[in-house]
Amino acid sequence: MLTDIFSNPRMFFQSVSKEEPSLKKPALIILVMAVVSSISGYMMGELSGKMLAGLMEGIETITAMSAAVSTLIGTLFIWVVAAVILFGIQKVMQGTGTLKRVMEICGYGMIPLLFATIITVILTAYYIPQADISPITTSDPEEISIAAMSMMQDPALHEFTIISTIITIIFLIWVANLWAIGVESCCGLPAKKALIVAGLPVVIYIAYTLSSLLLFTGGAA
Amino acid sequence: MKTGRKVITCFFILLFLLPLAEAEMLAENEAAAAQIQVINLTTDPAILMPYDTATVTITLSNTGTKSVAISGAEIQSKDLKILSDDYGKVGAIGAGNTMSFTYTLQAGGVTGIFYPVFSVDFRDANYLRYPFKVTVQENPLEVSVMNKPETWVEGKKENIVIHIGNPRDNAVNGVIIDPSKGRHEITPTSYFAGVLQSDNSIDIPFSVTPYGDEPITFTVHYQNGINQHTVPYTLPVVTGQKSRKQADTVLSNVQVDTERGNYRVTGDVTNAGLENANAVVISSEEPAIPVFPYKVYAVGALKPDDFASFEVTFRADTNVTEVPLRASFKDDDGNEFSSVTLVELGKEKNPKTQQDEEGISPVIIGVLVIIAAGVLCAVWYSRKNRA
Repeated sequence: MLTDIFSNPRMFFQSVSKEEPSLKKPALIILVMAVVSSISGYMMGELSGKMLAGLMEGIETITAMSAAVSTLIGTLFIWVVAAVILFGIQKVMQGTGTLKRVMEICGYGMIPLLFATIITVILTAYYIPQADISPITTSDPEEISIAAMSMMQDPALHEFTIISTIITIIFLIWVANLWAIGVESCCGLPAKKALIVAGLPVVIYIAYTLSSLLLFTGGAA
Repeated sequence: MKTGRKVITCFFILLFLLPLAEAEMLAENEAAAAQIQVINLTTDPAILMPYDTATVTITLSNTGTKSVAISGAEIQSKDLKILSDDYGKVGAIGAGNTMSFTYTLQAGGVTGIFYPVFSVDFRDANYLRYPFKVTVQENPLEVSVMNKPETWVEGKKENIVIHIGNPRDNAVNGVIIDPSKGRHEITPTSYFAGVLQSDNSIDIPFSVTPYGDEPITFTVHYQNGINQHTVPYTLPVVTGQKSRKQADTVLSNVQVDTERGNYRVTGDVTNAGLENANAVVISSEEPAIPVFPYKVYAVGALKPDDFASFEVTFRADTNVTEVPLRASFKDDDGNEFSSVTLVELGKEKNPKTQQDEEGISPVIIGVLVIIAAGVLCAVWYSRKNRA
């Protein structure tokens, strides 16, 4: 049962390790997450389109659709990239897991991010209408860049960015825990090494996210 | 001997008769000279100004039946200077013929009516003396300005009218008005008016765009006969004074708000003048950095007492407390004017300070804490099962 991943993840991954690796369920999980994420991406894209509305007729729809598709593809891409990184690290740690198995573990382990994504969509729906975006009328790239930067400094968007980042980090800790249990159960690595395999990329990602947050939003609220 | 006596007798008889014949001939010449008349006298110019030069043409006519020999002709005057030479040995005027004599006179520095004498000396007869009137009048052309603007504004084109009157008893010709060539833009650069009749006047329009406070000198050139005269008229130009009727933009109901880290200033702009304010534009100036969407706000035309709302957006450093707002407009001739109004920002309005003060709401923080606690519980629970 998929719910065992929350109640007893160790037992869940042990049962997974006894079967042939299959990517159907993990892919479906990631796809659902990608679709949910794309809703949030659509709303953000629509907001950016409002800023550029003065430049071209119908640009709001274009940017909204582009953002939704980008988010969808990006989520799938992140799954593959995370799996490759995990696979590489567990190989370095002399793990026995195949890429397919690691992708399977990675996919199941990202289930908590589905919750994070749903919360983010709710937050997006709450904060986006509060953002006060004025359309820019110039085609000067420098002005557009300045306008985009100033958009991120909108109080509502600024708060949204910080909260969504914190939520992602919180759920990533859960994801790292599941990945560690999965690698330990399926790749024949001891608990300590499994924790390093799962924790290292997450810690790097969290560090990167926090630094980006500080860089683009000018610090926490 | 008898023959000698006869000759001597005849000689004395002739000697006695010769004066008689001569006297008879003189009487005939004087009778003929009496038929010489001055039939025309012209002076150009008709009225002189002090030190003017004039030409006098006198025409004699012989209305008799005998020609009259003239040994000389001249003009005599104590008050006027005769510049041309006397006529000497001019010959004779045949019966029914006319003869003209032209002289050049120059007036002195005294005005008045003078009577020089034209004198003709006839051969074997008396002479003719003919006094004639020459008037010397001071009155130059009168120059004045009409429709002068009450105030001059630098760069603003104004129309003025120069009024030239001729108070003289004679016409003057070749009237040209020539404004001084300074920094001001004046059109036309000169104006040819031609002949100006006695007691007549002419209005000449000029457009002047002043640059600086240099006075404009309008010099009227004219000719009295062959004599060139000038009359200067100086028009003072003092810029920088505000016209009583000029449009005047006033900013009111000004409110300062913050928006995405930028300042947003809204308010009303009113035309408090008596003329139209066209192309009214509101913009912020240093130390403010204008940003979109309202780097500048074009209000458009404002009639007197009209008002319109405006909105400008800009960035400013945290230490900036006042920002100048420039309201510029154009008058009906396209001249641009502007006024600056200082807007106080106030520290409490600083966008960054405001953001820092607001922060994330406690409810959201609480939710985040609950989520974090839930996740930690899930992690702890999954780790607990391992044991």
